[in-house]
Amino acid sequence: MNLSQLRQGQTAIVVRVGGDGPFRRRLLEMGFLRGTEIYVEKYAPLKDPIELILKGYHVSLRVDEAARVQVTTHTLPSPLKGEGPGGGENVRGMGT
Amino acid sequence: MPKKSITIALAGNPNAGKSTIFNNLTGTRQKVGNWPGVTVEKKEGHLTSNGYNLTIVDLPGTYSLTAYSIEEIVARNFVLDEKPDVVVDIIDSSNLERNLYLATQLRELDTKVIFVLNMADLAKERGVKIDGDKLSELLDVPVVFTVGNRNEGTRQLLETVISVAESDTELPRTRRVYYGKDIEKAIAELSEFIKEKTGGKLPYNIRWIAVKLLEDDKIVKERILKAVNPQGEAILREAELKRQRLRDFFDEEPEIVMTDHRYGFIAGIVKEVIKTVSIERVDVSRQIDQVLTNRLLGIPIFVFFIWAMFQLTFSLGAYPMSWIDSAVGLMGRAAAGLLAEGILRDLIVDGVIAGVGSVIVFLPNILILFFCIALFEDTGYMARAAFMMDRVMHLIGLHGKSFIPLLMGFGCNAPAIMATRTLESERDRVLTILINPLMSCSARLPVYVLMAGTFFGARAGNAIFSIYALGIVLAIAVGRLFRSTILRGKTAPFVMELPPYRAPMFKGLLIHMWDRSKIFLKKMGGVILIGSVVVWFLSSFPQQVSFSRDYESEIASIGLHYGDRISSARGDLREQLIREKAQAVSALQAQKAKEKVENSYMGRMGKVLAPVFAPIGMDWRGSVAVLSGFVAKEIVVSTMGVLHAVGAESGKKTEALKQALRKAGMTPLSAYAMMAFVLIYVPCLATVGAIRRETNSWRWAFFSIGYSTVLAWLVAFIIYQGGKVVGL
Repeated sequence: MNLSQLRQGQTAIVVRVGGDGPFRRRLLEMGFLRGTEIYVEKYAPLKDPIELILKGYHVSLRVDEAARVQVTTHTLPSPLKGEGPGGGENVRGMGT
Repeated sequence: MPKKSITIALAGNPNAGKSTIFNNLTGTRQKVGNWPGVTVEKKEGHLTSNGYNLTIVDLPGTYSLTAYSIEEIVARNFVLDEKPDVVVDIIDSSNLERNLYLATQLRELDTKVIFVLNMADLAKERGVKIDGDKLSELLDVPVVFTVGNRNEGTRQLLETVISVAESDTELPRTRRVYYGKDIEKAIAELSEFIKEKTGGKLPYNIRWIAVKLLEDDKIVKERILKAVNPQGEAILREAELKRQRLRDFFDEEPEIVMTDHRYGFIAGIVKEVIKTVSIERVDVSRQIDQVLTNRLLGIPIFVFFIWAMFQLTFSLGAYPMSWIDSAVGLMGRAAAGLLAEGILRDLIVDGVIAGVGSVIVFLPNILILFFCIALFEDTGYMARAAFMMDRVMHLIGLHGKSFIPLLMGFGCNAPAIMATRTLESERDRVLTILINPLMSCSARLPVYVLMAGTFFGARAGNAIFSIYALGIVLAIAVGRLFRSTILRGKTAPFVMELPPYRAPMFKGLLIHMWDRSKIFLKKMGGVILIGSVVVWFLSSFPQQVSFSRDYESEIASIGLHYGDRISSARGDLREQLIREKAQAVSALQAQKAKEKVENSYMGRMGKVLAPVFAPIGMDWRGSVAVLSGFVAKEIVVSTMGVLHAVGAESGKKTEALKQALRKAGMTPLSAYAMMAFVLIYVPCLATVGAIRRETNSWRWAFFSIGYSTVLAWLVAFIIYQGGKVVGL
């Protein structure tokens, strides 16, 4: 399912952000990463855009943009191929 | 001893409190301008501290340094090219994770960085405690705490900046983002390749270049090609090869995987430095939004705020407006008294003072309007307004934020156009500017009132309302047309943060308001001054007009004619005679003034252009009036008054003008066509000046003049000829 199918007050987890390059990149930079929890705070009075809460801040997206974000209401299986977004161990294994 | 200079760049996410810190540091000693070549606002401030001359440059607020938006490019280029001594990154403590994204990117550049954890008090209230020492240790960066709106920590920030700028320790090259085994390998290989090819000649950090090339950063690619050739080509080819390999491996664009890793790295840091004390507290900001963006109440409240803003602007503004008006009048009379009669006096009194005066009276309106806008922005309400109005604006392919500037246009287009600075996308900004004059500003109202009042009687209100509606419909049509032709492109994604509501700082509001108003004032000296003088020249030259009658001697003979009778008459008769004399004289003077304007260059132009205006139902007087309206649209009314030879001193001037208009053969249809024409044609001088400034190009200013005039003629033509066909 995608983000625009959620109703007010629902929570979901990001699976994948689709769409073209710059849009996708921008969303990722704003924290729409695989595994991130997103809460649907409300729809605007005219039903578009949507107000979301993620990573402790509020952000708004148009409905057709939100439709490009695939989400699930279940917990996610394994993260990305490769090392994936890591935890604390990354901090010590820093590059030069 | 000469003082040492230090340049500091302030970076940070939008809404992180950057401008508050900037104001705290520099006070009112700031210079607002544009970054060269673009219309992104550049703020610079100076101060001296501990014997150092500090220059503080406020970089545009960005979430990243990816170089997708113009703001990001500007911010990054400044750090790369101007090499500030220190970059201070303002971090919103209650939003640490997302703010660290930009911070880690800054750490990858070869520059000294200081992290400022701003608004840690708010974070603490929300149950988040940040270990600054730990953050400093983990990233090897000095960390300072501040509370911007209470001016706390400014002193310590300054001291840290100076000591960091003065220290000659090596830049920390470790503790940067680790991108994972495969990408790190590609980075290392590409770095080695670049080193080999260029012999370390490149003026940037090589690891950073490698990272950016793997991310397919267009600007870095251009820079490489410019800096080293032909090796540059080889480097780009190698980078593309590596990108291809990574893409195959991850089944994903490398830059996406790298973004993921950056956040992974950040997640690790956040885990170590944040202590979440879970206290269930009421989120005040969310509570406020339950009302202000409520499904039912949100829009009515928004309409009320806008209504209040206009009331404040135009009712409260009316008082200082009339003071300025009389001050300008006083100045004009004083100048007239001081200077000898002649061209110079006319130039100064009727050209410079009257022209600039007619625009400067808007200053109170502009100050109040910008104060309200600053209030909306600084509290965070502006983002909510955009949130609620985006659906409507999306119809024209615009961002919700365009709503406010368009709405302000109903007051005055010049400040409305300046308010488009809040829009991030350049294309949105230009489009909003181009359709802004179609929002009928208050200066056009007197024209409508005159025309509709004369020809529509009881239906005048409806006629005027329909003109406003016509403007809005045209704005939508023109907006869509431009969007699909000259300003084509995707609508900017509506990824907009809704920051928590904050109590604004009064000082910040004043600085904000003053910055904008200063721009308006500066224009007075330039475009408007020159424009007023040109229009004055056209309407008052040639000076020597061969009048069809000898007005002076006729006036003199009237004086003689009445002189004896008045001195011999008594009581009521005497007063009646005096009135008669005054009327006769003023009728002659009005005739003379009319002939003078008729024979001026402006009048001749009007007559030459009359055939152009005939198909839309305007006679030469209408065309001259419309030409003079270029200075300010309300002047159309006074020019009509002069051309229809309505005496200046009669109290019933408007009534007389109405009669004259009817006598001159105007019909309701031609009056309506003229109203439509006045709505659409050439924006006034002040607006053209604002367009030129805000688009940073004369091209758009001339385009605006051209398209609006053509459109005005077409619409008036359709109204007039169409109306005639259906028998109106």
